Parts: sequence; C-alpha cells; structure tokens
Amino acid sequence: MTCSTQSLLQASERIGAIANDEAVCRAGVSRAYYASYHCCRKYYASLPYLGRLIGNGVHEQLINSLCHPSDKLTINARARSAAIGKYLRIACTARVHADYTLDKPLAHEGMQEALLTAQTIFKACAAE
Amino acid sequence: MKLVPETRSSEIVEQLNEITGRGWYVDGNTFEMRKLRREIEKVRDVNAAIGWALLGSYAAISGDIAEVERCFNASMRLEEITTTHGNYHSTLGNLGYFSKAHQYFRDSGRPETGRFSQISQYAERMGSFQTVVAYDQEAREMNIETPTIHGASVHAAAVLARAGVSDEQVVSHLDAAGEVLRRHHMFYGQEIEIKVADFDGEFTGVTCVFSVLGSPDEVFELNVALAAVEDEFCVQKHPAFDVIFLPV
Repeated sequence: MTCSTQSLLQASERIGAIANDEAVCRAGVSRAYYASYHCCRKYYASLPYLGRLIGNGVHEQLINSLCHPSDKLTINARARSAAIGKYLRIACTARVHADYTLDKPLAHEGMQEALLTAQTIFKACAAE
Repeated sequence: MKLVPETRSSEIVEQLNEITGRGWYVDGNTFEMRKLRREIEKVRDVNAAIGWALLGSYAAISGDIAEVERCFNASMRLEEITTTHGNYHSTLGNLGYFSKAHQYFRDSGRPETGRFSQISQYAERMGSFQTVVAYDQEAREMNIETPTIHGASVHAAAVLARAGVSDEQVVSHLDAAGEVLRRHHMFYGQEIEIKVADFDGEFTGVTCVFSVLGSPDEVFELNVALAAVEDEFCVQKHPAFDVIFLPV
C-alpha cells in the first residue's frame, strides 16, 4: 500500500486546519469520509465472521455489513461492529451532503463534526 | 387573577427546561428541587389542571415515569388544555418512550382533535415522520392552519416510505436509544437531529442523532451499549434507518 489510512486521516485534518471557505470544508468532509471508509474496510476484513451484505454499492454494503454483524461473533464484538457502522453511516451522510447537495450550506462546524467522527472511527477500529 | 399563575408557570417551565438541558436526571430531594416543587404546588392551588401538568413535567426530570403518567392524567381529567397534551407527548420523548409517544400522537394528535399543531412540532422530531405528513395533508384538506414541518422530516418521511419502513419500526428503534439513556439517567439535547442522505448510487438513509454530554470515547461506548440494546430488544433494523448518539 502506497498510502495508509492514517495518512488519509491526517490529510483531512490538514485540510480542516486551513479550511476558510465552504468549498474547502466540503473537501475536508469528503476526505475524512474516505479515510474512515478505508479504515472500516480493514477493520471489517479483520473480523473472524463477516456480516450480511445488503445494499447498493460498496459504501452502503460496508455500512450495512458493519451494522448487521454475523451472529457468530461474540455479543461484545457484534455491538462494537454495529457502533462503528453507525459512525461510518454518519460520515457517509455528511460526505453525500458535502459532495452532492451544493444547494444546502455546509458550515465549518459540519466539517469539525466530520473530522471528530473520523477520529472516533480510527480510535475504535484501532482498539479492536 | 389568572395571569399570575400563568406567568409563574411559564417561568417554571423555563426552569424545568433548563434542568433537563443539564443532561442528567436530578435528585428530587435537593433544596433547589424541593423549592421548585413547592412553587408548582402553589400554582396547582390556583389552577389545578396547569399545576398537575407541571408536576408531571417535574417528575420527568428525575425520570419517574409512573408519576409523570399520574400527574398528566390528573391534569387532563380536569381540563382540556392543548399545551398539556403537547407537554405530555414531549415528556414521553424526553424520557425515551418513543413508541408510547407515537401511539399518543396517532390517537390524540389527529387534525380533528384540534391538537395537531401543538403535538406535531414534537412528533416530527420523534420518529412519527409519515404520520405527521399524512395528518398535515388531512389538516390542509380540512382548511386547518398547520405548522411548518421541517424539510428534513418531510424528506425522511419520503425516504422511509420508499424503503418500506413504517413509523412503528422507526420508533421501536428509537426506544432502544431511550432505554440506554434511562439506564444512564441521561437526557439528550433539546431536539433529535434528523440527517437524511438521498443520492441514488451513493447512499440513501435516514439517521436520528441524539446529542448527549460526554467525551467522544464515552459517547462511543454509549453507542456500543445502544447496539447491544438493539440486539437485546430484537429491534427490526433496516438499512434505511439508524440511530446514533453524538457528543454535544
């Protein structure tokens, strides 16, 4: 791998640090999501049993697989997978807003929220 | 004469809202709470229906649902006050009883009852998305003045209807979050935030966000607890809908 998931997160944090207009905030949200997506993909692949594959496209499928983990996992592992899935879902919702709904404003606070969500995902996945 | 208790009751409501906004249940035995209770009892001496309703809201800040029910029932038996119905409904939501709140809205918030405007402003944020939109349509056909429904709630109703997710499924999922909050003696922020993504081929779904006090790590653990309760309650989870706690 030539670029680590951690590098993507750091890139989103650097974008966040210089964001002084809405377009850059949108870029920060988008980068934070993709950092989270790749981090979650690695986490998901590391699970001993995989969840249910539901939905269209890789993003929806990963979110749903995390949120609907395999019954073979321990109760705690199931709950942690579903919790991480919830965060990825929020990150994805923010990314869809940032990249596709230009008619709805995206404030600096929205980008800060997205960065915090990504940081939480990284911490949670690293703890597993 | 009536102006005095009404004005005082507004101040008491503000105080109750402020206490709820602190994020945690309170102990009814503190000096502050006993003083507040005495003030409410004075209001009840002048206007029993308003006083009982305030006592219901007072009971909610220490999480006592049985007392909430008893006090609001007493108030509603005495006098028909639209605000009381709205406050009872929102109190159920504050304590995390969303299925109960939804059922109450379905029965008591129909446009013909005259309470739709009052209750719908809370119901649209408490998972009754499609019912609010349907009642709003009925109200318009009846030429009843209707409140403005937030765009996110209308959008959520459309996305969930398309996905075949009913209000009942939504509120039973919200109940799981309510259970976690009750176990931790917590309140959420004033309103549940409705986040909707609806872009074909990318991601489509509705997420209800409860803002709660706590560090990011603590709130993550609250989400782990939520996921465990969803399992415990056998919540019928649907990809189009989910619930999350996020730090304030």
